[in-house]
Amino acid sequence: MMTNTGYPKELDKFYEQLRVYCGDILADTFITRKIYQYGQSDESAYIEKLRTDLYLYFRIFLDDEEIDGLMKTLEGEG
Amino acid sequence: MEICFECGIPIIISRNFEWSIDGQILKRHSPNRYVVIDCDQLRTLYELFTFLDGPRAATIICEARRKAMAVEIRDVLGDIIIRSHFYPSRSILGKLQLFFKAFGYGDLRLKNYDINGTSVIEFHNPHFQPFAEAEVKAIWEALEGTQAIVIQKVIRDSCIVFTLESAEEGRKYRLRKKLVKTSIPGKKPKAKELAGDKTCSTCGSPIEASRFTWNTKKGSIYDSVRERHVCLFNTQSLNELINDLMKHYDDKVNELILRAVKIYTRNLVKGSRILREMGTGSFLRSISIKGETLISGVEEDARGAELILENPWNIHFVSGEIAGWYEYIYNRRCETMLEERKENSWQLRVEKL
Repeated sequence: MMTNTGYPKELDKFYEQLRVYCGDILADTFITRKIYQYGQSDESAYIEKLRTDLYLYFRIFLDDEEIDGLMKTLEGEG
Repeated sequence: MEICFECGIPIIISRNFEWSIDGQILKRHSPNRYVVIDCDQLRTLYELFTFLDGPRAATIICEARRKAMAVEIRDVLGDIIIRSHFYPSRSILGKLQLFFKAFGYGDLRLKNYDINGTSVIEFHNPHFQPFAEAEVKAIWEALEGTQAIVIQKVIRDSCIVFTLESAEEGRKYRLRKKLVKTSIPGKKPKAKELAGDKTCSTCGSPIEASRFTWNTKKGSIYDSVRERHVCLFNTQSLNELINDLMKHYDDKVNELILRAVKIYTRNLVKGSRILREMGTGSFLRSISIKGETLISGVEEDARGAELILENPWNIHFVSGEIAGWYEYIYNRRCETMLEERKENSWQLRVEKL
């Protein structure tokens, strides 16, 4: 299901939160690229892969608390 | 490359650069300012943008580096290049190799430079692999005045072999254009005097700069305090690179740089015993020796610290380094607040969250 941002529902909040950290353009290109990269057929698959990205790469520019916040958003608790 | 026996700094560096008391490394007889930056710090920023935007960010960064490097090479080679109408002489190539080694960019070997417009360049121990191609293209551009294309790239351990050709069609067997000496525009900053009285009595460089060790064979510089390989960069070329990123990704780039540098520095301090035992005063002084800024005032209170930064090469980058240090010291996350006091002077407030 798509929302008004154009992204699947599961990524909608994640996108909103990510744009606070890296701006509209980078958040937008990042999410679009990831959806394309991981494929849209199985939504749970790219959410799973985004979780791995969070732990591996987001540490370059986000603190642990911020990563936890994004993680909760992905899990639907945020 | 000749090295000063007292402090270990290459003579070419001490002769051409001066450490001014206002926290800058300035090139003599040129408007250029330089800064010493960790290769890993550059890698972190590159990884950050390529992680968020993929190969497009890599192209933006590498192209910005190519453009800036071509200008810098012309500036370094100076008059020799104007006289060379046909093909680069041995003296040009020697100077180029020396420039790469002295700045810590790596060991450059020109294997073939054909009159028909093809050249083979071996780049040993490049300071940062993604930049190697851009830098090699910049050499061609500076010497030939035309853009180059890499027709073959072979990576062997720590060496990359590039085969280059002119991107301009019908270029073969034509006389090369006469090149005009260019320099990066900008006003030459006024150097007040060399850093205090603690200078090397042989070459005149600040004695604290002896923490950098030049490997003259490999063309690398090692910072023994931070325990990292470093490079000497032109600040204008780095700022142009950041400006190019801002054109594509808006002003948030500055905030991202601050965040990434802060986390990098915090982890660097956490992992280094030398840095951990250094104390705030010495750490801030070590930033000045790298030519990043002059810290003219530090006030610490229960909630955080307030610093006056004069002539920072990039306020967001420098603030990130300082905030990273304080985050380690306070062992908690900190917020940074910046306020411009006057031209080239900023007030930085690092506050515990």
